[in-house]
Amino acid sequence: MAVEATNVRRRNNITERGNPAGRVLLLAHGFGCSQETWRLVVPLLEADYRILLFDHVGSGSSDISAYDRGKYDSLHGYADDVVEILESLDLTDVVFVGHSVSAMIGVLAANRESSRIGALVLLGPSPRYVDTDDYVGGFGKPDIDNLLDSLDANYLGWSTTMAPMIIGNADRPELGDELTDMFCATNPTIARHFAHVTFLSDNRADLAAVRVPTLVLQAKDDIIAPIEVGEYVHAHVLGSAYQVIDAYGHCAQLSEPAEVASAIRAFVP
Amino acid sequence: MTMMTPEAPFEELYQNAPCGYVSVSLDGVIVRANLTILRWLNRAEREFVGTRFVTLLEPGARMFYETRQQPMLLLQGEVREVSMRFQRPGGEVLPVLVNATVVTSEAGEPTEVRMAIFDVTERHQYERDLIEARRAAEMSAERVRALQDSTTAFAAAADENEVIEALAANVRAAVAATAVAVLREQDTGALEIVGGVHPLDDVAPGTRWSAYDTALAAMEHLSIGSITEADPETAAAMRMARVESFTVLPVQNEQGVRGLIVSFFGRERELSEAAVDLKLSITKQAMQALKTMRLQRQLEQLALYDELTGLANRKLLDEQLTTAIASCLRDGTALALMFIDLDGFKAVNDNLGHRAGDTVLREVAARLRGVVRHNDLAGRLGGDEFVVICENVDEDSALAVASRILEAVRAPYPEIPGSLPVSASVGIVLTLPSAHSVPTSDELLTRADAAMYRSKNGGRDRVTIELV
Repeated sequence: MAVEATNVRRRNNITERGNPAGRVLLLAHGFGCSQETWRLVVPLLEADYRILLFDHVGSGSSDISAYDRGKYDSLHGYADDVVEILESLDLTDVVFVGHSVSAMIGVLAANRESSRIGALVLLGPSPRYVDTDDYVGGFGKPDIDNLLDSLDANYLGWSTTMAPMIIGNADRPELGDELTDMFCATNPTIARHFAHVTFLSDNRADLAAVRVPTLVLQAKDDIIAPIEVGEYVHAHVLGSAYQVIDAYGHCAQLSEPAEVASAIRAFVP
Repeated sequence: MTMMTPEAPFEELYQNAPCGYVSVSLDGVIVRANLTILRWLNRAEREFVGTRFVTLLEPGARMFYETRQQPMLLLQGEVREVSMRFQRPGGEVLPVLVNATVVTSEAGEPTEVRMAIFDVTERHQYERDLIEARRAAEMSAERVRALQDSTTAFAAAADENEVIEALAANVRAAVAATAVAVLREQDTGALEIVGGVHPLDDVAPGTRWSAYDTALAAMEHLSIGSITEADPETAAAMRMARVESFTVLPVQNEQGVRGLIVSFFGRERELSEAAVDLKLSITKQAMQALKTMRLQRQLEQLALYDELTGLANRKLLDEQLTTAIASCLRDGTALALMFIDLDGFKAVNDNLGHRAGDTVLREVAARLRGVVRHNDLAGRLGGDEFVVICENVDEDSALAVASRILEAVRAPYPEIPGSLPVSASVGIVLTLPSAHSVPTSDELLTRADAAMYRSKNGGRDRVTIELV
């Protein structure tokens, strides 16, 4: 399928940083975030790598009108977009760095287009969040409903307070930094759907199909993707490297950006 | 009421403030907490300080904190009025609103996070009700929108195919499916894909999936909720097609024709009762649209065919004659128009009544159909006047058809006594349309009519041919 480069650029709000001669790093954000999540990591890598950032459709400054509920009802729809991004820019041997749910999106994309994705860095990956009889993902089904309640409670005033931020706030400078606004500006209907897709997907079977060099980056203490889950991913991705970084919480790229950056450097010098 | 000691007024304000205060290290560990929050959560300071803050939240709130609130806090330096839910030791939940700020050192390095926590138990139930009401309103709005969209799409569809494609598209949108296929059961029992996209058929064309038979046998909505629920053949195709689950909705129209609406999903899904119901409503709309189209087609049939004999009527004959002239002109072939008037028909009507007359007309029509060539069109102009259009003929073959007509019409009619014989007077106009002279259909009819009169005047039961 031919992909119109400018359409993809606009759809996924692709931005580029760093050294044009360097190896390409495609940084992908997780649920609840936007490409802003890489803000602290990018300066540490931009001297040596060509860095591409993007927003998943429905997040950040992506083109919300491209949000097709059927397409984005599974991670395959997001993986299609990643492949399209690489095709539209005609990139090969890219290092895909995926945080959280984007780690699995990267696995799906690499399994489809291993010529374009040369390596995977999976930061806080979890192939399945909900426990089964013989698998510990860390959460039960009721927890997911609970998450949706939390989400709704936090977006209770969304339509009135968030809408002005989405349509631009030139005349309301008090709303602050524009990038941060976009980070906050999440359509609750889409956020709810993305939460469903993120936390109710099961991609365990896709791990064994990975054929590109892979680094599993696991935070020491992460309740969303606990250490056992990181070990599971490492064990099921053939020949993967595994590194535990000294970070607390699910967003090591924000809490320990230097650790994350140096792990990426060591893996893809 | 706590007594205030003059030595530590600010400490006292802090400890017993009307809101909870918690300081958290950048590692997420609680380093300080005031008495208010300890009281609210029913915890002792020694078990509270040193605990990971996030573990105090109930699991769902924990997930939202880690994926959304914490990153926002780190990026923005603060968050305001975010909703969290603490879990008390007994399992009871304390809903709160939190303002949090990242504290930085003089050098601008973040040092810790400070949170002010407000108990919102009172307004919580009200908010819950609000959320429930909003969800219900959104759901019904979505349902109405889906039904409106499909009504509009079906009304705009020009033919059956467009209705079926619109059905697939609208069901897909309504249940957020990766793909939707529409299948129809043929007379042979085979299932044909008549619209939409069928990812399993793309990887294994022509396969009859066992789930379809199960759904058709029960005529009930069927869900294959995961690859492990499917039989091995289906499971293999699902893996290849990246289908993790699918649902099958069997339907049947008034004619008894059965169909399947199959929705494919890229993850394990179970549809709610409301979603299945919506799918069924959209499908029923489509079936109604198809039924309306069928009725319209029947009406068109009625408008083009003679009610008594089932032959083409004057309107259709006119249309077909014009088309035939054009195609003979294009192909350089000859065209024959035969005008047939019955002999002795008036006597039958006068002596035996109109019912007997109608019987003769129906029988003549059947005999005409039997003796014309496969591609010829026989029609009835009215009364006892018939017409046959023969494309791609020469004089001999036109005369051969005409003589078969004479013979067929002349043969006895079982319900009519031999004293009332019926025969045919036939006039033929044979033309080779050319760029110089393209006859109109009216001209041809007039000439064929005139030739028929010559047969009539020449003694009936005969053929007159005119070459133009």
